[in-house]
Amino acid sequence: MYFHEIHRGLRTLRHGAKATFFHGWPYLRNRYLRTLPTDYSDGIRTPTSGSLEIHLLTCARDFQMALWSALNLTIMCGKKCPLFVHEDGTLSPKMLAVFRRYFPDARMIGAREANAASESAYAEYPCLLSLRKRLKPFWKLTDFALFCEAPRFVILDSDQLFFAAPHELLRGPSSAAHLFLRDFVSTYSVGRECTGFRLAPRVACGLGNVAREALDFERMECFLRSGMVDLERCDMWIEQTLWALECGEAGVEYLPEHYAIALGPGWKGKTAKHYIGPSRDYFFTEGVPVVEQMLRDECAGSQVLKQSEA
Amino acid sequence: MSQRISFAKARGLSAVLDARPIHTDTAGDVTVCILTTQREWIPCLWALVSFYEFSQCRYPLAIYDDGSLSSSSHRAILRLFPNASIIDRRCADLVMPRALAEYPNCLRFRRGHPNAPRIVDLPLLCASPRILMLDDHILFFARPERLVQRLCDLEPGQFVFGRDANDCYACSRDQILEWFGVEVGERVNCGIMLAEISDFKYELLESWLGNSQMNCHSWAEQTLWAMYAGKKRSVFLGQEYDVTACPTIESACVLKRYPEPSRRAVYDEGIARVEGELERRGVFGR
Repeated sequence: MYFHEIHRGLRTLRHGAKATFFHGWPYLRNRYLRTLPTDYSDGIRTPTSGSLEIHLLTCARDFQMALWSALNLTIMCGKKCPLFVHEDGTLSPKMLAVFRRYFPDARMIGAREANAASESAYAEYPCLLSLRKRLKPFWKLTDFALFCEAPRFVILDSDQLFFAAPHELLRGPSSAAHLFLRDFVSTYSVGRECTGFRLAPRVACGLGNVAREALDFERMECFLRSGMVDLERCDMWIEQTLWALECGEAGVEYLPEHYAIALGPGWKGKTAKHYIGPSRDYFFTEGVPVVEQMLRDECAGSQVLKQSEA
Repeated sequence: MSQRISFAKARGLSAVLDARPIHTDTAGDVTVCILTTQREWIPCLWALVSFYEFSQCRYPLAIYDDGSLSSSSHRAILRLFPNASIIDRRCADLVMPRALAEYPNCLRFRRGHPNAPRIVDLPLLCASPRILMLDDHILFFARPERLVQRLCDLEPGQFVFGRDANDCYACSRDQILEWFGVEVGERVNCGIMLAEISDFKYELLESWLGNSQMNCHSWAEQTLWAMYAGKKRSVFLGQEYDVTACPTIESACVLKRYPEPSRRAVYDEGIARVEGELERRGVFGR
């Protein structure tokens, strides 16, 4: 176990050194030195209830990205949506305190509370529960719906940034139940031989607007029991597969092309970018400086407004 | 002499960085695609600036970085083309193996051939139904009327190519017909190519790449495009778009290509001519 931890630490260190060498000062500064957004440190007031909630799952590794992402979307949607932060049990008390400082009205859901609630809520769905225990990204599927109090919720990944107001995301689908980011290809835990179930193609579950009532956990359990997926060995794509199942059955619309999955640098003309895998480096080098400037402008604007009101 | 050339190279090459930014569209029916490397990224910018300035088109731009481009090159490209999408090879490496899991020959070709991303990656990673592929050793000297016309009135399923001086394929046309049962056009050159990529058929590529001759040949990518289009669907641009060995630029010349043996001439004559033309148009912020 220790060997695994050491190996992972060394890998992170090597990646950090390589990325710093490649991207230089902007990466070093945004990734390691100035770790938190400076404005808004006195907190952003968000409502505690509303018709659309923002749900975010984070861990210690992605804590800093999650903070940027949540700040970014909260500001972009005009601070009108309640924020729910689900943590996977790895966040330190200091990290939690930082989240609370920035989002005093956000609902923080700890791992212990989530485990207890989901074990009783999904007691009839053993396959779902076993996957939940094994795969932390799976919590997005089970816990977001469980703790959601509104008719709809936004799924927000930590590695997502917005460069313009995401009207399409906030408005939701026009005729289907769900709205998701479109992937380049269908990346699911089952191949084409999936019979008896309809999977929507190219669903990327990093960003979406979901109708809570349309989610059918019975159907998901049936799918998992069908034997098409090896529950002991399947990887994290099973979560995306189940979202695709729900989208296939309840209907899905896709976000327009200017909501992109990052394949490299370049943000102009895009409303949102999902920095996956190796493109996460660009989150810090191009994304954070742009978002920081936007937040600063917004903060200055709201201060001027307050002063003029006073 | 060599010092003079390097000075001219350095001066001529960096001039493109002073050009005014070109704001391309962010979505559309056609994406302009170009594959580049750290060694060739400035000639690539000349190719793109001359194309966009002379054609006055604003089609979305996708630049495929083979993984060697530095972050400062990225920044310089984005300063000149703020709306461009740069596809980083390392990021594409995350997507493509998942997408082509059922096509091992395509993946092997992608790993081994430097030009493979042009036919393997770009059809999947470009969101538009058609792509205009440009080589980074092309320079435009005037408005490419015929190309612009083709971009507007291309029939569905058609492929538009320039012509090579000779057949430049991984094997002869007769062998292609015999081995694969595909009839290809004569002297197809994919340095400038307008291709239909909606519903791209990777299964065809997969079967053709099973042939070892195809996998390792330097003209494999061009051969595959010619085969994918087939003789019936191949349409050619005019003579002025052909690859020539002519040492000078004629006055009515629309464009010129500088493939490897004549690459040095791009610095000696090509860029100086383009720079002069663009200067007259007020492209450079001097």
